[in-house]
Amino acid sequence: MLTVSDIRDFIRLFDESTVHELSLETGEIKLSLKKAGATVVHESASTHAVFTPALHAEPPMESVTVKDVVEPQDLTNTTVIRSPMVGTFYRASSPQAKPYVEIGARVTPTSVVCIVEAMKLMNEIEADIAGEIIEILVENGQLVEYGQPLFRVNVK
Amino acid sequence: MSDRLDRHKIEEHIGIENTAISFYLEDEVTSTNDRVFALCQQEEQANFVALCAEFQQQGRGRRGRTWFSRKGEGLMLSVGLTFSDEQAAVMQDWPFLTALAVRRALLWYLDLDVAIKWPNDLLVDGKKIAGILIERRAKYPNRLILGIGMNVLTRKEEFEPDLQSRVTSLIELVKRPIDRSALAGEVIAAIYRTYVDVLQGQRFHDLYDEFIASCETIGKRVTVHVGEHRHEGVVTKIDREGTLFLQKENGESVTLISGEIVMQIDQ
Repeated sequence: MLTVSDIRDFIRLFDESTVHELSLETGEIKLSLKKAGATVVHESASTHAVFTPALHAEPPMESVTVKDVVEPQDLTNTTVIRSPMVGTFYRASSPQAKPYVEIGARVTPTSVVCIVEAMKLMNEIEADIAGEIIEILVENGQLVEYGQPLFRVNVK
Repeated sequence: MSDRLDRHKIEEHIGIENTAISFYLEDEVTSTNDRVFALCQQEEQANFVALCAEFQQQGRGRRGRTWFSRKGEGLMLSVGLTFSDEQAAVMQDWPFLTALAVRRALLWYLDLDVAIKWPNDLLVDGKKIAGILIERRAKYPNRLILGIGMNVLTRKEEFEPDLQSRVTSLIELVKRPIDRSALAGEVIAAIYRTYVDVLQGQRFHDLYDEFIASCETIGKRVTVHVGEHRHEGVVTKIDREGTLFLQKENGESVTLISGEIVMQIDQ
């Protein structure tokens, strides 16, 4: 059974993909995602998630609603900062130091947002875009892959 | 036991005719890496900027751990290297190349054979004598700053009690006077020679055999800390890119490009 968390993950993956439309049906849940193609911003796009419970849902659905899934993540005008390399993600230059950015921070393209470390080589990562950090997508100390989204940025 | 670093002695061992090296000696800095970064900004044309300091207020080890060294006892130096866009790919080799260069300097100058713990700690008998921290700052993506900290004259009893089983110093190993200035010059010269070799096309995989011969990590049962995660297993291989392969007890194989080996049970 899909959980709210699963659905969030689907939306995030869909949002970061080049796929424009996705339908998924499992058990009593039917999930349809469609991007509004005309308003694509950088890698991301405005995403409309349509969450349609099947008509004959038995047993009763969890109280998952469109509101639950979409409202905390209005992805209009957002994009992501991706990791340019594989390595360990660190939010600060040292455990004692303040993180480079917090949610709500305004960044410019040259703002350092994190460090990705590989083989004890500390690589400072820049935002490469101007905007406001609205979500931090990985945990401090987490291994990140090439191209993995690290931060979500409101570019409006 | 301590002495003061002597500029002329350091330059003599670097090779004073070597005008390609911009060398600085300072008494006290916040961190040698930060200072070299600032010097690189001042010296836009310099390709090789080296700095030694008697004392750094905020010496960092991996992930911000303090690199402790009393004035006059350790060696703290940083080197800023510049690469062209075409050479950018070689930058990832430097964690290993730096370890090999420092190892060569110690072998050459002190006849001391040190082991490398992946990726680039330098050890003797399982105890750390030198650490390396490399930074690539966003403002100058074609530069690397190599930070090296070495325990030279500190006596065993002077280390913090909880460190005594894990660290050692050169003086404890070679048991004869060591001139820190000469050693600093030799280390900088060894890094410079490596830098020149790299500019002429040498890569880590060309030195792979030398690295493996001096690497004490292979075949060991280890715990590797990767961020918040831990992996336990036996190191089966380090490949020519420097990737570490760990075989867990459940048979699962893990490849690591980041992490710190914190325990070696079989030592």
